Amino acid sequence: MAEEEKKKRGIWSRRDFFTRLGWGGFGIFGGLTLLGFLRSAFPRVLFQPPSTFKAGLPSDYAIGEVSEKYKQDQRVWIVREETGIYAVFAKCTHLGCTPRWLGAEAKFKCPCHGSGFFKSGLNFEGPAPRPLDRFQIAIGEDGQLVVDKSKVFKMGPGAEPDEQYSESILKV
Amino acid sequence: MAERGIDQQEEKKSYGSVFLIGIALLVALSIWAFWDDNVTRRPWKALQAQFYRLDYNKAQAAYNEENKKLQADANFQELSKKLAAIEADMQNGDLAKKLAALENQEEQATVQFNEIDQEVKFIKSELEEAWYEHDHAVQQKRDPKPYLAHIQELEKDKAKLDPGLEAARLKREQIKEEISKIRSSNRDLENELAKLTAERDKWQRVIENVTLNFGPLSFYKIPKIQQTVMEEFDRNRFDQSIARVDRCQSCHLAINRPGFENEPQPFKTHPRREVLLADSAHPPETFGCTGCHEGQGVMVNSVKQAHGEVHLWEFPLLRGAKTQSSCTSCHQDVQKLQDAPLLAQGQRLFEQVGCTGCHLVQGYENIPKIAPSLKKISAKVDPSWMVRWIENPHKFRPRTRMPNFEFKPDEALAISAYLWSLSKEEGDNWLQEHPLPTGFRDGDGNDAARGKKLVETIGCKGCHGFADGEFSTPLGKEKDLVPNLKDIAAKTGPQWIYHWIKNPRGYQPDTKMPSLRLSDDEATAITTYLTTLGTKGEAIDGIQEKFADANNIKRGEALVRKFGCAGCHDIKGMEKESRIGVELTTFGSKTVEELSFGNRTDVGHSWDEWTYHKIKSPRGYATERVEQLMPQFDLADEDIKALQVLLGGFRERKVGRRYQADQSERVVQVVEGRRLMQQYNCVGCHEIENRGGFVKKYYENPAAAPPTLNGEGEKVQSNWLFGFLKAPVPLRPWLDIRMPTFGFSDEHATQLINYFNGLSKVENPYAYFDERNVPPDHLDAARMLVSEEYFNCFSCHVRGGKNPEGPPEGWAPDLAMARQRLSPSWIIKWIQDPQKIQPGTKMPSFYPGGPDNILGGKDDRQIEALRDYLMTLGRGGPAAPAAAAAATEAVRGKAVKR
Amino acid sequence: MSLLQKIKNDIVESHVWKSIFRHGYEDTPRNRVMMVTANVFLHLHPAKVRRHAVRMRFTWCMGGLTFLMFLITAVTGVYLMFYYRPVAEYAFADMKYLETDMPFGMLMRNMHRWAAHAMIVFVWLHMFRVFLTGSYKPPREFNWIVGVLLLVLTLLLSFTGYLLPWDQLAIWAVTVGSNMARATPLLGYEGPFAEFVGANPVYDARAFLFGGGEIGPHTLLRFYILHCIFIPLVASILMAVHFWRIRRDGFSGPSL
Repeated sequence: MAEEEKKKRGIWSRRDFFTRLGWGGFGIFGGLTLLGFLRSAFPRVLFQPPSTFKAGLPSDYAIGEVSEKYKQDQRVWIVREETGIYAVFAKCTHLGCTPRWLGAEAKFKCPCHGSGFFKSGLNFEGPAPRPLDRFQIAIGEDGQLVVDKSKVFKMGPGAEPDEQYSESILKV
Repeated sequence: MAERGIDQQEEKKSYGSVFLIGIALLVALSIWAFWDDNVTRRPWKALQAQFYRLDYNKAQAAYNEENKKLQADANFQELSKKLAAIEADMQNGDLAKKLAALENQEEQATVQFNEIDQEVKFIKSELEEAWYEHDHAVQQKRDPKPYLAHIQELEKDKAKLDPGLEAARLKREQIKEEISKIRSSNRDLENELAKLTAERDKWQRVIENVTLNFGPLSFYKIPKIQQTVMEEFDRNRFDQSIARVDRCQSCHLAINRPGFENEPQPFKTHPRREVLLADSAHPPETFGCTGCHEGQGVMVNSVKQAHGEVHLWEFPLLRGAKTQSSCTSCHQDVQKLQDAPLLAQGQRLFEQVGCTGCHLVQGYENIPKIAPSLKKISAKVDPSWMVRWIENPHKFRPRTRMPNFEFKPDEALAISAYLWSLSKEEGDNWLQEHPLPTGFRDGDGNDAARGKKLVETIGCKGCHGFADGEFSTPLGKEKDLVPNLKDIAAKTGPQWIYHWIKNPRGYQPDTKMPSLRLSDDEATAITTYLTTLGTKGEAIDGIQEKFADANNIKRGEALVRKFGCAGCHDIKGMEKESRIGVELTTFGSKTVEELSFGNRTDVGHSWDEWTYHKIKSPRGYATERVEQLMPQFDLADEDIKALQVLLGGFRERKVGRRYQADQSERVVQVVEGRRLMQQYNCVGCHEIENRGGFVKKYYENPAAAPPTLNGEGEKVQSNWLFGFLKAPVPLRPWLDIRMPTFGFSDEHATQLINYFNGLSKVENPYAYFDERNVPPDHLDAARMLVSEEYFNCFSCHVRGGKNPEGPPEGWAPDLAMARQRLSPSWIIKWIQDPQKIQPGTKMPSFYPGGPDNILGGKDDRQIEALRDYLMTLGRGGPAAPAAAAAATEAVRGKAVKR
Repeated sequence: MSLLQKIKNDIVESHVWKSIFRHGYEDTPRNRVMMVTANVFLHLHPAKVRRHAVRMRFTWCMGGLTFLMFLITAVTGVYLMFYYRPVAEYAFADMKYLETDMPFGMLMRNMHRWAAHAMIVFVWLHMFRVFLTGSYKPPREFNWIVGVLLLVLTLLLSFTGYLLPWDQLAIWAVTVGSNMARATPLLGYEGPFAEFVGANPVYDARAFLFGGGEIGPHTLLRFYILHCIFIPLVASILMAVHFWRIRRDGFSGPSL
């Protein structure tokens, strides 16, 4: 009899309608609440350090030297070669550890899984798939080097970094 | 089954409608929450959208303008046509074919190179291995020889391959170069075009900056909070340094951008942006906005919150001139700040009008008493005048610094009686020791006229006025730093005047009044003149008896103590009195609750209003039960505003060290020295730091007026200046006006010298000139340069006491003094360009363009020669004129004159 | 069968659903009991209630509402914790950032605050109702005691939370509030007999609260931990006991 009655009243009885309305409303509320909670995980402002930093005068760096001055603070090596100055991102391209500069062997060596990189950043041993990345480096108005960490030269596998991005080297 | 009082129906009642309404409420509330959180509480979103539209439209208009100009430019049209042609060629013309062929070749060359390279690399890694084995063997003390042999073998293999590799590399490089040459054939054109379109492209970048592009769709940028983090700016209550965060630029987007000067707030450019927000001053990305303007920089949920104009926020926004209050938080030397004129004026007023006599403020503790000593007052003034003066000084002299204590006549009399009794003995003694000179003839017309002339010329007017409305150094709008003497005869008599002007320190040892080194005759004439200014007032009946009345004296003492007269005057027996006013060190941070408004209802409840009315009518907040003692200064509204700005800066505020302006010893020296300089009123006659020289208005010929002292520290030798300050010798004895003798102590003279040196940033106050190092040809050359043939220096300059011809207006200081007086490095700069150092000077500029025939025509050598000459001049006298003439003759024979 | 019906069936008959709710609703008395006892969330409630106790007029829903307020403060509190550092340098600033940076931060703060206020009010009304209906009498006397302890903990939660904004109001309100502890007999240095136990300003009941003689950075951390971990934990345990006793003892009122 109930079935029949339902058929008579059409698909939705008044009671069904309000039930669905109620649950629908609850669904909307639940959805909005969830959305709100998710949104609140992303603050409107981030307290991030500025992406650029000043790295002293070009003359502070000797030719052939790998400077570890900014490794602790900025995770950057400044390298000066005959060709110019470049800033290497001290982050292993394997799983993101910070390699060490081994001056005697003239290579960057990652302590985590043993990846090795030449002074140019080129990988030559261990699991690292590609050379170390570099940051843009330029000379500021006051003659000081300015490293911009928001501009990354992302190296592809297999080739010398100098050849991949010749603009990553600042000619002095 | 019915239970007690329980309706069965109760159990079966449906609450469906209640739930439905509840759900509806929940949905409505959550939508409202979203709206509130994204719109109502984020006013900056709408403002940023508005700004981007404004910026976009402005840039678009400018872009169109520039574009129109470019389109009309034939050069531009031609260049773009050429460029288009080349580009088309490179796309599908001959060049394209050539490029394709070359690229093909390059590919082949690369393959070739890589093949050899790989082989080399293999050998290299084998070498690495071999070396490792070798090293390992060495370390394990085995025989390394077989390894070495292996290495040599490998090296040989590698050497075989090397030439091939090099050749392959070279080939590839060559092809690459060719490609890039073709590719860059349009570079020159592009560069040239870019130069033309630079202005237009600038606007293009602005447009790109405010828009966000998704393929063909373009939107305004998504609004975002813009913040500046000022690390270690503040300190909290536990003395830990904390960061301050400013988000003002979330709405004030153009604060540091030119071109928005005429837009309404919040999009207006900061006034004087190029100076105040410059990198060397207060770049907003370092100093934020609230560093100076206060407010609640972190809150951007509403304008009121951001501006800190909400309940319980202690630092509401400072707008306009009030912002100057903040300067004191970081700048110690506020007088030199050109953009804080009110603050500087407020500080001068505060120091000079006598505020520090009653109020203690940190940094202003050591300002000496500003008013004359009363220790011998009975010798100085007319007793009846004194009573009237104390009753209301502004009646006699409206512009005096002495405030009006609004004493009743009997109170004034009591105070006078007390002061009189204190000073009677000492005063009488002084009068006996200093009798009126016999030459004085009261009212003598001749003498008076002569005295008037002297007063007008020798420099009295550098400080004093002698008629209504006459003054030199202003103190605020309506006050005088030094008394106007137009009624002086009403106050005192000839005997005191004569001895006072002859030797001020003989009457009051610590007076700021200098001695003009008057002769007896001059002093007499001036005394005669001064006694003609004003007339004695009516004597009060029985004044001497009243003064002698012990009751009056006792009452006077109580009043003097109560009203703190000793704050400004030296009074016998009151040397140790403490200040009677409240300490103002933290007055600026007082909240309204801490200020007593008395019963006044017409004053608005704010710090500004309270302070204004307090200075305007100091006893206005008194009630029947609360007495107030502060006297009436009758300051102009503008002066009150200036004082308000200064008082607003008296805050307990510790700004992080790295944000503070130069706090070095030198700044302290400058501040202290300037204070001293203002106390002695040097600016009455001299212009210093582009302020002062007020006496100049009485001299038609600027050459007859005292010199400007801008850059004095750099100009003169400190040693000479010390001697000069202690005992001035006239530099230009032919002038009427005289540098007076202030009788500076060693300490004060040193402070003044430090001040001048500090202003000129002189690191080294010592000058040493080694004559032995003077090149031999310099002196002869210089003698020629100064001679009549060339610069003819001695047509104006005095030489070793020998005056030049012509009227004294044209004369200039004795060059024989230069050796001891002037700094050698300054002489060089001076001769190079006198106008740059002292604009408007009579000294002609000879360089660049010195004579060609002296010292090879080199300007800098000639200038050095002149310096060497001046630094030796007067040392045993200049060389014999004959020698100079002979030298001139010699040159004249062969040389062309300048 | 309509699509909706099918989806509903799929969900209700799924393994997950059954694991959580165990029993569907078949309207038999046994099932009603099973429905309540087999569900972890409902089992705190008695499986059977006397008829009069269902009426709002009898319970005022105050116990349940108090618990709801506790849940709201707990959830919003967790969100606030994401953006709050209980360190003297940051606490005040974090509270400000929370209002501007954290989306719905102001909503969370206000909900936390008003729910806390409401909780106090509801606790008092609950107690009042229990008193009026005489529900504190045996066998429920133990639950009354537990309830009183919960009241104290609720007040302490409010008190410790008051310090966390780290503004002037917070510092001085807590200073004033805690000064009472100075007068604790034996344990407060100004209380009676303090001299016998040697209590002094840095070694007494108040110093125990403050972590020192005065309010300082250490106090902030101490109050934060009390507010967020210690008191809620103890309160939760007591609440469990409280609810369990209700379940055991049933609702008071006229017997059947």
